Amino acid sequence: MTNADGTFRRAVLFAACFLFATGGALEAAPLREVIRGAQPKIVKIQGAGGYRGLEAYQSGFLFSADGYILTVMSYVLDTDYITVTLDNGRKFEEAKLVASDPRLELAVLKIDGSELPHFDLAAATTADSGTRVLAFSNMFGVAVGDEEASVLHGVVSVVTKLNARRGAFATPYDGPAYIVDAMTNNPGAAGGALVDYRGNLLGMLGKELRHTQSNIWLNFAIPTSELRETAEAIRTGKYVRRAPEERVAKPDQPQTLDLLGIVLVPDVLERTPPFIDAVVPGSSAAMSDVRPDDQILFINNRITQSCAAVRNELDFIHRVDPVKATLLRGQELIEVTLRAPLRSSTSAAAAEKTP
Amino acid sequence: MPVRSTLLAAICFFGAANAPGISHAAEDLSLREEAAFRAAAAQVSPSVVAIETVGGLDTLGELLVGTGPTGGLVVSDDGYIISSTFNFAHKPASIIVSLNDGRRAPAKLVARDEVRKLVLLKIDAQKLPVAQTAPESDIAVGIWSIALGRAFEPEKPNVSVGIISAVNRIWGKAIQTDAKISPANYGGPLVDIRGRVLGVLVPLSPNEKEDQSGVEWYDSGIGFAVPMAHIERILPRLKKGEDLKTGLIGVSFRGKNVYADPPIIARARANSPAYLAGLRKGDRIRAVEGKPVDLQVQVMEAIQSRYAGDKLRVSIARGPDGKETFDRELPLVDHLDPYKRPFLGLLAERSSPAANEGKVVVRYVYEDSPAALKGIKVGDVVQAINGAAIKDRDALRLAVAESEAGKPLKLELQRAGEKVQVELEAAPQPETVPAKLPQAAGEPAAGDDGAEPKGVSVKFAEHKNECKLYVPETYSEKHPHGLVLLLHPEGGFQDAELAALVKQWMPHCRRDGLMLLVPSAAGEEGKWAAADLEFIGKVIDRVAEGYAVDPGRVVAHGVEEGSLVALRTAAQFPERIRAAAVVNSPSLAAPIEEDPAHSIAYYVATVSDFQAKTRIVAGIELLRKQFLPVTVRELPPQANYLDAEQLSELVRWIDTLDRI
Repeated sequence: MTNADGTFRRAVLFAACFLFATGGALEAAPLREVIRGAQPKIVKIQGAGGYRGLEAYQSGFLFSADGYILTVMSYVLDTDYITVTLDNGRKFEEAKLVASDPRLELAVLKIDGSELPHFDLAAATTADSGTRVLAFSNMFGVAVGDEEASVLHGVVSVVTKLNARRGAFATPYDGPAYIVDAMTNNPGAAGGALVDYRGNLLGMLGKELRHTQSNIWLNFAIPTSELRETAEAIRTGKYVRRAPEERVAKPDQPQTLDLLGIVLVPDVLERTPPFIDAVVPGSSAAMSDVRPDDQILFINNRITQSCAAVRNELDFIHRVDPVKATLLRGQELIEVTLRAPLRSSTSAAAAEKTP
Repeated sequence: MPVRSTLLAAICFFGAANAPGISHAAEDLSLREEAAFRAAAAQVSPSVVAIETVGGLDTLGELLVGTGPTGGLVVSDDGYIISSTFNFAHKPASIIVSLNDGRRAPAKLVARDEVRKLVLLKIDAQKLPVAQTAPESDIAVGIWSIALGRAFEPEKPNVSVGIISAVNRIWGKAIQTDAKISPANYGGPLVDIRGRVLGVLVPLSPNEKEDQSGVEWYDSGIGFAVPMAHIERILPRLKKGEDLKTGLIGVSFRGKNVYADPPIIARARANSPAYLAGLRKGDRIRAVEGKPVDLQVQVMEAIQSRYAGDKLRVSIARGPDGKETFDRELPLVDHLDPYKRPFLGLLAERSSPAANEGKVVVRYVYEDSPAALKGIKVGDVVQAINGAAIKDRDALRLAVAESEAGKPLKLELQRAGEKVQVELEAAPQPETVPAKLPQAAGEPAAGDDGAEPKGVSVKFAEHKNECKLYVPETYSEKHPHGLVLLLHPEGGFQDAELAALVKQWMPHCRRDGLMLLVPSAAGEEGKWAAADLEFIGKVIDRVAEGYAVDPGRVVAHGVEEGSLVALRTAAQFPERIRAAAVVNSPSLAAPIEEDPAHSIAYYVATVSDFQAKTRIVAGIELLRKQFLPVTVRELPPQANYLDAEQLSELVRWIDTLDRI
C-alpha cells in the first residue's frame, strides 16, 4: 500500500466516524431522548433568601403523579411562600412543605396536580465509578418560567461515605454518596436529580460542601436508596420525625494513654506527630515491646496524624476493648495489640471493677 | 492520532455492523465508551496507591492543606512510587503508602523534580504491578483521558473523565486535560482509554514555581499531567536520589515581550554558563539543539524542559549583520553566584608616554594586597597574563575580571630589563581608600587654584533641563579626564552654594584630571523626575563627544535626594557609570549586577544622626551580599556635605576606580 493509499483510507475512515460520532441524528438522539424524558420531572423552587449572598432558589424533582416533590431541606424552604415552577412554566405559588428529615437533610413538598411526569423512586438503580451521568438542576437560578433545568454530564468518580465518621464539618448525613466529576454542586443546584445515560434516577444533588480531609469542594449526590424510605414515608403519611442520628457514642470509661502505659511527646503544635516519649515499665505497652521514639500511625486502622488524634481515637474505645496500634519504628511498621489492665494501681479510675 | 483513528474506527464499524437502528448504534457507543472508561480505570487501578501523611504544616501561604489520603503511581516493581510534590509541600513527618492489595508500608522520599513538581518515593516491597505507558507519539489532542486518584477511600480509586486539551503546555512540560484535576487526584495517573498511562497529575502554573501554584485551578477544566515517557527518562536520576532543579544559563534578553521579541542577549551574567562559553551582549540565539528559534519564549521553553546538570547546544549569530556564527554547548546550572570582581592590588599609569604606547606600568601597589605580598613594585611593566600577551591596561583589567574564580593568575612582568614571573590569587575588592596616592603620571601638576573656574552650558532643545560643565584650565585632549556628575538635592543648588562647591572641587579636578558636570532637574522647584534620567544620559554622551573622557572614572555623585538620581543613573547606564557616590542619601537602591566589563563601586557618606540610617545600613548589607565594594563614611552631625579632608578622600577613591 502506498502512502497515498493510507492517507486516503484514513480520510474515509474519518469521514465515516465523523458521521457516526457527531451526526445530529446519531449520538445525540438517545441522549436527547433521555434528557427530554427527565426534564419535565425537574422543578425550580423559589423561597426565602435573596440577601447576604443567600440564594432564594433551589432545585427539586417530582416523585409522584399527584405532585410530591423531593428536594433538600434548606433556608429556602423556611417561608410560608414556596413557589414551584414546572419545566412547562406552570407555576404553583403555594407549594406545601409536607415534612423534612434532619439527618438526610431532605424535604418533601406537595403541589396540587395529577398525571405529572415523575421519577419512580422504587425503580431507581445504582451506579459505580465510571458510570456516565447527567445532572439536572436550577443552578445559579438561570432557568425561569418555562425554561428547562440545566444539564451537566460527567461520570461517577467514586462511591464513598460522604465524610469522615467525626468530620470537622457538621453535616448530619455521612452515608454513601456518588462523587461526580462534573461541577454539579453549584448555588441552586441542591435538590436536583442525578440520572444515568439510560434515564434512571441515581440520586439527589447535595448542598455545597467541602471534603473534610482534602478541603476541596465536593460535587455529589445522595443515592436514591438512602432517600427512598423516608420520602415514601412522608408521602404516605407514615413518617415519624427523628432526631439526627446519634453519632458513635463515646464510652463512659474510655481507653487512655495512661492505662496503656504510653507517654507521648509534649503536644506543642497543632499537628505534633504522635511520637512516644516513654513507656511505663510493666504496662501493656512495655509488654508488647512498644519503645520510646516509635510513632503511632494508626489506632484500630484509623490514621492518627497528631497527639490529639491519638487521644481522640482512644476516647471512642471502651476500656475493656483491645487497642490495635500500628507503629512506625525507623522504616518498619509494627502492629501491637494493647489492653488496659483489669486492675490498675496507677489510676484510680482504672481500679474500678470491670464488668 | 493513529490510536484515536483506529479506536474510533473500531467503535464506528462495530456500531455500524451491529446496529439495527441508528439510535441504538449511538446508545451503544455511549455505553461502550462507559464500559471502556471503567475497563481502563480497572486496568491501571492496581498501580495506583494511596498515600497518607502524618505531621507537617497546616497551611501553605493562604491555602489550608488537607490531611486526607492522596495518590501515587507505582513506577517500578521494586517499590518506587511517583507522586506530586504538592502532596508533600507541608513537609510531613511520616509517609505511609497503602497498596491496592491492602498492604501498608512506610515510604521514604527519595528525590524531587522541582521543575515538574514530582516526587519519587520508595517503599520496601517487591513485585508491585506497574502499569503500561502510552507511547508519547500516541498522545494527541482530543483523545480520551481518564484521571485516577485515591483521595476518598484508600481502597477505591476515584475517576474523572475528559479529553486531552493540549500538549506541550507550561513551557513544554505537561499535557493538559479537561478531566477534573485537584488534590483528589494529584500524584495519580492520567490514562488513555486503553488503560495505558499518559502522565502523572500535578498542579502547574506557567509563571509560578511554588508547590501550591496551579492548585487554584483545581476542577476548573484545566489540569496538567507530566508525560509518563518523560518520567521514565528521568527515573534513573531520581532513583539515585538526585533532586532535579531548574536549569539556568545566565542570560537576559533584550525587550520584555517573550512572545514577540527575538532572543538577543541583553546581558550574559558574569561566570554564568553563557558567559563562560563566550556569549556576550548583542549575540542572537539562532537555534537550540539544532532547532531554529525566533522568539525568546522558544529558548525559555527549551531551558524549562531541561534540568540543571543537562546540556544545551545553542547556535549563535554575532555582529551587526549576524554573519559570524558559532555553536556552543552550555551546561545548565541550578544557581548563579553573584559576581566577585577579582582584585590584585594595582593601579596602572593612565596616560604617561609609556602608557600611551600601551605599556601597563604599575603606578601604585595597595598595601597588603596580593600584588604587594608577591613583591610587585611601582614601575614594573605587566607583559602577559596566564601566558597571553597584554595589549594595554584595559586588556589586563578585563583579563583579570574574566579570570576563573579561585584559580591563581600568572603575571609576567618586566622589571629593570629583567623578566619576573609572579603567581597570585585574587582578593576581594577593597573598601578602604589609600591614605596617599602618587599623582597619575602624565597628568598636569596642580595649577593655580585661585582662578575662577569656567562653566560651559550644555543644552538640548527637547529638554528643559539646565546643565553646566566645569572643565579645569589644565584640561588637555591628550589626557582623558574623569567625569563627576554632581546631582543636587531637592530645590537645586543656590548660585552661591554651587560656586562654593565648584571652588572646593576645582583644585582636585586640576590635580587628578576630572571634569565636573552639574545637571539640574527640569521640574519646578528643582524636583527630580524619571524624565531627567534621559537628559543625563544624553549629556554624558555629549560631553564624551566633545572632550576626552576616561570611561573608567565616570561617577554619579548625589547629595540628599540627588543621591537617588545618582543611584538610578548608575543602574540605568551601567556601561557609562563606574561608581555611585552619595551623601546623606535617603536610601540605597537595589544592588546593580555588575559584570566583568562594567564595574560598579559605591561610596556612602551619611551624617551620624541621620534618621534614615537603619535603611542605609540595610542597603549597605545588601550591596555587600552581592560582593559589591562599598566605602562607608560617617559625617559629623548636621553636616550637609563633605569637608575638605573628606572630599580629598572621595577624590582619591575616584582615582582608584580603575584598580586591578
